[in-house]
Amino acid sequence: MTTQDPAIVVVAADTQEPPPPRGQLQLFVDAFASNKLAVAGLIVFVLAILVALTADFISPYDPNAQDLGMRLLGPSITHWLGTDQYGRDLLSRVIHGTQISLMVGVISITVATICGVAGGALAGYIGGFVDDIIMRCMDVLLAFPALILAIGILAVLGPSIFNVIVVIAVVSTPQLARITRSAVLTQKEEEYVQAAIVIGLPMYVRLFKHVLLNCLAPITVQATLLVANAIIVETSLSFLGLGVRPPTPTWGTILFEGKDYILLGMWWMSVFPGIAIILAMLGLNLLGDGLRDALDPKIRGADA
Amino acid sequence: MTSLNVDKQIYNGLMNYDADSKMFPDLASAEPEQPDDLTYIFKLKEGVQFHKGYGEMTAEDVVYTYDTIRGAVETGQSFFLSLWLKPLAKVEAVDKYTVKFTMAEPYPDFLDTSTMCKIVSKKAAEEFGKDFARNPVGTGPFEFVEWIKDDHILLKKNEAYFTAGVPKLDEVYFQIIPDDTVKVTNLITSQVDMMKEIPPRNLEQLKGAPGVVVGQVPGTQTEQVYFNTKAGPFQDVNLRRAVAYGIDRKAIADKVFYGMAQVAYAPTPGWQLPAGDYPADMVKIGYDPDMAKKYLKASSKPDNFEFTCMTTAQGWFVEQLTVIQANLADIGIKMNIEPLEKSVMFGKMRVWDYEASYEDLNAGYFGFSAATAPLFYTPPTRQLGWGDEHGLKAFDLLNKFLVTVNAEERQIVYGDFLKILHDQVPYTQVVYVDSTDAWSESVTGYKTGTPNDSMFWETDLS
Repeated sequence: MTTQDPAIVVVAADTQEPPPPRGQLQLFVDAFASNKLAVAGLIVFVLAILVALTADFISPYDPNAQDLGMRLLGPSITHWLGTDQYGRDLLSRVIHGTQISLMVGVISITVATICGVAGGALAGYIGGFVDDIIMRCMDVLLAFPALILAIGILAVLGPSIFNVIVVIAVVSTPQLARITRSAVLTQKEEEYVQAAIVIGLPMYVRLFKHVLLNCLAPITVQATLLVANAIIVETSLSFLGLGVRPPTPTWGTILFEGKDYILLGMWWMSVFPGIAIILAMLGLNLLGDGLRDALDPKIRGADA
Repeated sequence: MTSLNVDKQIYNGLMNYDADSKMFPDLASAEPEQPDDLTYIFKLKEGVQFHKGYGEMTAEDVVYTYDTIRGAVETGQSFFLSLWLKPLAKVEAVDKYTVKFTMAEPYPDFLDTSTMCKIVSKKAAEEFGKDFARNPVGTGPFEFVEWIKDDHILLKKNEAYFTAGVPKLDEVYFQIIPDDTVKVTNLITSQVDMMKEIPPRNLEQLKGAPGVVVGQVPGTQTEQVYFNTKAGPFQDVNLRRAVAYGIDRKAIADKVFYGMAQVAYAPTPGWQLPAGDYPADMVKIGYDPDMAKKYLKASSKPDNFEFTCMTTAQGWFVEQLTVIQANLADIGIKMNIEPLEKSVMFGKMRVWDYEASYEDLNAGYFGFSAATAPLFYTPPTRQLGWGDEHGLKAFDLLNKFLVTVNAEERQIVYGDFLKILHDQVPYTQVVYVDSTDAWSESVTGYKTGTPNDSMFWETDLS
């Protein structure tokens, strides 16, 4: 047969299945993509990660190379953001600072997420004695203001990048544990979890597949916002002289070194790392807010 | 602001220096009688009253003060000045207003030392015990009111001061401002009347600021690297030498201190030595990368040598170390900088838990003839752990210097000490920082002096 009977084609079209319902992932992507601020946040975050990953290639100078003859110069063609009091190129330092600041933020919160989710999930799911022990420990950590606790721990450990990561992980863990625990408490009463118990699925399957997977939304959102917080804590610690050791550049140390020169009219040493911090904070917070809106079916429905 | 600046307002010594570094009898009524090389007889001013009703200052209080400092009275405390009172054999009250000091050996700097030993009230010191430092009772122009740690110290006028017309100010309020920028801004905007230790980067700014007067004289504050000679890599003298020759001192004086410091070649500036200058044959350890590389090559760690230098997080130390770090990187040494709280750092030095440290020592603490300042660091038991034959010999030479009367001989003894120091390099000097103050035009009767700065006796506000 070389030609189709039009009647048959119509029938075939009618019997085709309706398009499949859009999956959860698709719904989330659509909701996120329609939120322009969230997309802007994501772009900033991705750009920052790209800058951090390619820091060694895109920096015009060695960030620690001193040239005392070229110090304290304002922005120019040769040094786009100017130079600091040792004649180091500020642009290269801000770029490498992005590397350290992001690395500290992301690694410390990854560690905090692993510890916090494990602790919070066990506490929430098992309950009773285990819950009491884990959560009371977290309460003790939460009772101290994060920055004060961080300063205290660093005073004992001494300043270094590794110690800053450890400290931020420690002060961030309780927040993730609390979020996870409360989400797990809600989820474990759901009927499908009860059903899984009834059909005899082992506990780790129930916990990971049925409970934790459904808690991912609040944990992801909290972790994203905590990365922003971690960068601020790192910056604050470096600003107080307790963060990473010189000459390693981070946004906080550059700001710290620049603050004494503001009154002398050398604004660039403080303004540029300041802008980097503001952009990163804004980006991460927009991203976090966007994730929360896109992941929450209730809010998502309201937006649509 | 150092505690010494406050002490000078509260206490008097038997002798004292004025802002021009001229010695004058203070609690003594005149220069002491010296019947022989070993004896000093001081007549005290009569009717001098201690603050807060602790009674008249008498020979009793002077004897108590000196015996306490040199450790002849058991107080459970030790005073660094005891090193400077070693030649003192006996101090006794002849009568209520006469004190006799007997030395074991001739001690040419005794009068200088007597400006540093500030007379305290025996009654108050015994009453407060270890808390006396927090409740100081002296005879000075100002009386202690309160000290709120890390915030302020308040002194008020001693109405019964023994010199008529002194002091002029009703109160002195020492405000502790840790941040340089805040300190400078407070002075420029007249929130404070005077500031100590100008941050070098603000020197030109303050010189040009309307209504601000800047005082700057050569100083005795010596920035130095201390090596741990008792443990770790710097037991190797060649590594110590390599670092010492690898530091570009001029760059630090010019760039970190903006010319507010002089390159240092010895623990004491030349002008403070008996001959008024360094010995002619003194080795000047300066910036010499080739020499540094040579010593590094001869050392136990010729390749990839890495060490950590701790320092005080506040102040100008990290800035200096950042330059030194780049200097040393040029000759192939990696130096890590570890900024610490001051007390933590000195705690680590005390137990030799460090490789190198960077701090300053103000030789001005040791009187005008500050040549003996290294005594503070050379005893084998002190922070450097420099207890080998060279350290002991250096210690002996400094003690010999202390009791040598003839100025030429003294210079020779000191030269011998410097030879050991420059050969062994247990610590190395980088720069001497100038003494600086800045004050508002409304302040009168004040003069920046070395080392006797911050005397507010004649100071007034218009």
